[in-house]
Parts: sequence; structure tokens; C-alpha cells
Amino acid sequence: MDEEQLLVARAARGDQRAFERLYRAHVDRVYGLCLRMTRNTATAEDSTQQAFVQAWEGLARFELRSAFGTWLHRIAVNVVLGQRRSGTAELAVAVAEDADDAPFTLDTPVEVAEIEAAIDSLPEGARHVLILSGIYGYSHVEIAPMLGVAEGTCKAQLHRARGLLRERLNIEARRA
Amino acid sequence: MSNSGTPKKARSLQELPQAMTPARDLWPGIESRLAPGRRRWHVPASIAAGVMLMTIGVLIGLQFRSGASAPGAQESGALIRASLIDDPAYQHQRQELLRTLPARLESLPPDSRQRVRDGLLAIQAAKQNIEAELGRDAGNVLLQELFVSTCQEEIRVLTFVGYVDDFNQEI
Repeated sequence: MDEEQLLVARAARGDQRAFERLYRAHVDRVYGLCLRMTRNTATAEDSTQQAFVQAWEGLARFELRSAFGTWLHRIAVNVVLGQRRSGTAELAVAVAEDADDAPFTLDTPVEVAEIEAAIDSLPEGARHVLILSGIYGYSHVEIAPMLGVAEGTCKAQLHRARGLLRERLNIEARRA
Repeated sequence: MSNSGTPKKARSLQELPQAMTPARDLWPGIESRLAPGRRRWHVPASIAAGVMLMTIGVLIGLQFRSGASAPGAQESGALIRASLIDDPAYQHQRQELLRTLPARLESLPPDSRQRVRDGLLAIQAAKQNIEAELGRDAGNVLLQELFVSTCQEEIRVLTFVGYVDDFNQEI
């Protein structure tokens, strides 16, 4: 049992100090995910807080064999989607055959701020999949249940996101 | 959205930062929303709880021996128990903990080791008593819930054996 598992076990027994240590260790990644998904600092802060409160309430159901960070991320995604569910429209799916898990790379380095802005401009469903896949490294198998969509939808969204990202970064023009 | 001060370039999304620091400390807002008064857990307390559950199990079992159950309770009660007993994750976790228990017990001082053994025996006896009463009144939801909580208590004790230096200390 490693230190984090012990903290989780202590927190599951009601030890708020242990839970605060878990919070300090994970808050930046959870907040980063929430901010990328919501694009709004106030909403991201609220989602982050709600995610940790839900995690506290659900600690008894957490299995120590699982990764605590991944579990937290799943909760955070649920919280964000729960706040925005009404406005979400799932992409009609035609699964793209080339929507694989290979990393999205650019031939020429682009300013991070420019990439961030291009990601921010993507449609919500595509953006969520791109963030979880490209930045946080989750597979389609992991992302699909997080977002509550079929794996095929997830692949199609990623394909769409990559296409739009290339278009918005004007990659073809940069190559020329 | 980026909180970086210096312009940086990247060729891959994996190079973008996963972590971002919120502008304010979010912990006070979280702490104020955590359920107050959640118990702090002690191993001996769980053992005592096991003994108490055994007593309660017998008492409630006797009280309900007449077999009187609320209409519809039979089905929901059976579901509660079946959801635990038939849960492969629970069974796997319990078997794994039981498999490693002897080695973890060996790491404890003799007094603590004996207290754990006594506690687990008490919990086991409580489970058997409750199950016996459930045999007579399978639809009693109160007994079903008591059985489930006793099983959970057993898992808690099994989980933490060997992970505390002093068995009287809070973990």
C-alpha cells in the first residue's frame, strides 16, 4: 500500500486532513481538466470543488487497486458534463477509419497559446475528446464511459477535432 | 486560458500542461461542504463494532423471529444481500485479503495480533448469527442491511491489518 493509498484509506474513514493532502496533490490536474473543458475560470473552480466534494462522498466506493487520479478525473468530467448536459448535442456518428490513438503531432512547432486558442474554439464534444485523449492521454475505451458516449462516437469526435485543429492552425499553409 | 508568462512552442498536444493552478485556494470551499462528523476510525473500534453487531444481530433476529415482514420487503431485501454476496469484486477483494492475512498478522505485536483475531472471530460470529436469522426471515430488510454493514466492517478490518504500527492508533 503506497502513501496515496494510505491517504485514501484514511480519508475514507473520515480524516479530512488526509483528504486535504489528496486535494493538494491533485487539484492542479483536476482544475486544469475542468478549465479546459469549461473554458471559464469561475465554472472550472466550481466544478473542481464539486468534484472533490463528490469524491469525498464516494470514497467508500473507491477501490484501492484503481488509480485515484483517474477516478478523480472521471468524477470531474461527470461534474462538468452534468452542468452542461442540456446544451450538448452528440455528433451524428460515422466512424472514421483513420481515427486512431496515435498522438497528434505538428510538423512545425506552434506557440502553445495558439494551440490552446485553437482547442478552445473547437465544438464542445470534439474539444472534450481531444482534451482527454491528446492532453491527458486517455484511450477511447476510457473516454467513452467518462463522456457517456459510444466508443465509435468518441473516435469520430477525435477525428473531427483533429481535422478542425489542423484547419484552425492553418497547418497546410505553414507547410508550404 | 494559458497561465504561462513566456511564449512556448509545442509540436504535440502531449506537451501542453495538464496541470493548472487555480487563482485562489479552493480548499476552504470544499472543506465547508464536506459532511461534518464523519467518524474517525480506529481498528479496535471496528472490532468493538463487530461484537456490538453480533449482539444486535442476535437481538434483532430474535425480535423478528416471528417472520413478520413488510409487504414487498422480501424482494428488496433479497436484492440487497444478493448484490453484495454475488458481487465478484467484493468476493475477489475478500479472498485476496484473507489470503494475505496470515503474513500481515505476523507483522503485528502478539497483543495486537490476538485482538485482531478476536475481533475477526466476533465479526464472523455476528455474520453467522445474522445469516441464521435471515434463514428464518429472508425478507427482513433491517437484517439485510445489518448483514451488509457487517460484511463491510469485516473488509475494513481485513484491509488495515498490518498497515499500522500500533494497533491502538488511528490509521
